[in-house]
Amino acid sequence: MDILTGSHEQSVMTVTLSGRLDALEAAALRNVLDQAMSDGLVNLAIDLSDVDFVDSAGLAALVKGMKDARTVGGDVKLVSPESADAMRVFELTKFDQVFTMVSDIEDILRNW
Amino acid sequence: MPHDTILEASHLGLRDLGQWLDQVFEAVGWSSSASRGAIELAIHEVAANVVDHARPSDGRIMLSATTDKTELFVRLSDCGNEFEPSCVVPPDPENPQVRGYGLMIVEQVATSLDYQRIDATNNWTMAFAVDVASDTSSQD
Repeated sequence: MDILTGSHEQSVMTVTLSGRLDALEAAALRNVLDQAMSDGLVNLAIDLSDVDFVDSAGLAALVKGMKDARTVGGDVKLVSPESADAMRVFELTKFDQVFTMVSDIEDILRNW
Repeated sequence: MPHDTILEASHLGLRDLGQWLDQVFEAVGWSSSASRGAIELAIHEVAANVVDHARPSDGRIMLSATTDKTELFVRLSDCGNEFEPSCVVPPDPENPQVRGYGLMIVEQVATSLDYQRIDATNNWTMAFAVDVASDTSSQD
């Protein structure tokens, strides 16, 4: 999995992931999100459009980030995976209704 | 004819699961089935629980698959710690928990899921309905 991070003028940190977000990679994402929280960046836009597989451990990393962010008044918003295989875990666990999930990161940045 | 493989009981080892499943689906002419991705996720979740909780001392997860016309039957076994159903906390939609979604996922994808502890071995059996109609590569 590749992780690219960036910032936005509205104090939104962007995280772009590609490849597999599974148990092997979840710790790396957790570290990125934990570091962001430590740096006071509590509004996070995570682009999953190029992720091709997400398992429950990958989902857990996102859920922990969301809960941590919401605790301090921020949020984690997602760009939906284009891959049906990657989207499936959100649908099966109903987290597609818990996260804000959009198809374009600009929608997140414009409307935060 | 059963399709057998042995996975290394590690998160890296689980990445070989998809290739094995591809071979099973190809052997029975289901290569383009829309069901494949969900089935991989379900088997992956059971195998990930073995890695995280059963932790087999020999470092192996055994997989065996058989097929019927539109069904896939998978047996997953390991010699690790016994599964304790009482330790599974059902997800609460009102208060999303961070972990514990693996078996919830499997139960939604599989048509049946069974666990037995036999001779110090964990044995998971799963059945899946396969959408054969979506497979454009199969021959009549």
